[in-house]
Amino acid sequence: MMNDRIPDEDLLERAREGDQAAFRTLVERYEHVVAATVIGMLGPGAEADDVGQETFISFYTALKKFRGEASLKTYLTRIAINQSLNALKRRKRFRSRHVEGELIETIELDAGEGSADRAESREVREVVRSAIDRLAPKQRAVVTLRLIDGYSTRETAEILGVPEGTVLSRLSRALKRLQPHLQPLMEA
Amino acid sequence: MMRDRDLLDTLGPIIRDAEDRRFEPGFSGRVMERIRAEAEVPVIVLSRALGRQFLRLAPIAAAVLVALSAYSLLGLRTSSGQSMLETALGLEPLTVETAYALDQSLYAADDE
Repeated sequence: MMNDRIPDEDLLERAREGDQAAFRTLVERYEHVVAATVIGMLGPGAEADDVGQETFISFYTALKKFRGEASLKTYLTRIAINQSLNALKRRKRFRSRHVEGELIETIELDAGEGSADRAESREVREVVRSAIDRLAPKQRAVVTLRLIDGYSTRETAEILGVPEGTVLSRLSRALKRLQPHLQPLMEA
Repeated sequence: MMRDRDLLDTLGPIIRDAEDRRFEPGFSGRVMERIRAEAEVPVIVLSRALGRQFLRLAPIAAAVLVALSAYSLLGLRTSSGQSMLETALGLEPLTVETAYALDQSLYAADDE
């Protein structure tokens, strides 16, 4: 594995020259950033993994265009958000009953295994995921960036390419929509 | 009714801590594998594009070939100096004598 202390700029330069090991190090360095965004948007699973891969492939093909105007973290998050929004569009178009059936079956099987704590954390996860799934994609993007990734309102606006006021209004609507579904967790 | 700020402070940690947002192990390997695979794709794409162009141009090329062959055949002369079309239609070779003979036969017809 390549040294973690090598600055991003050096790795980027080497990756631009075709050094695949340098690019791999960048993937390893930033996969947690992309994972937080993509899984926040889509939930865990193969689809999120696939979208995460597409994010880095898209970054790889645009390596020569990236000149560091934004930080690499912000740049990757922007790609990840756009890829996730595309995935949500595809999901809306092609989601089949077969896939939903499989998902329910998996959850039911899992519920029978493990300790009470695990079951409880799984329940929390499912409630939160189900609440996030009810949000419109644009609201979901704001919730992911602000609450999960921890970006500020200004950074979120920059990533989404919208005014800060739009971020605030989308967040406000999203929180009000989430509240009734997360009420039991709030009381607990 | 909770204010936005309070909602943010209450719901934020619940949402943030609800799930472990990490990819399955071996993620970077999967990415590099796809990059290698996609590097081979342009060759396949070019080959498919050429195939599509061939299918589109082949009938036109065949029609041009037939037309040029026909034109070429029509232009060919037999040993008697007739074109292939004249020979196929059974026409007499055109010479000064045959032209006079035709002329005389036309006058003879007028005299009658």
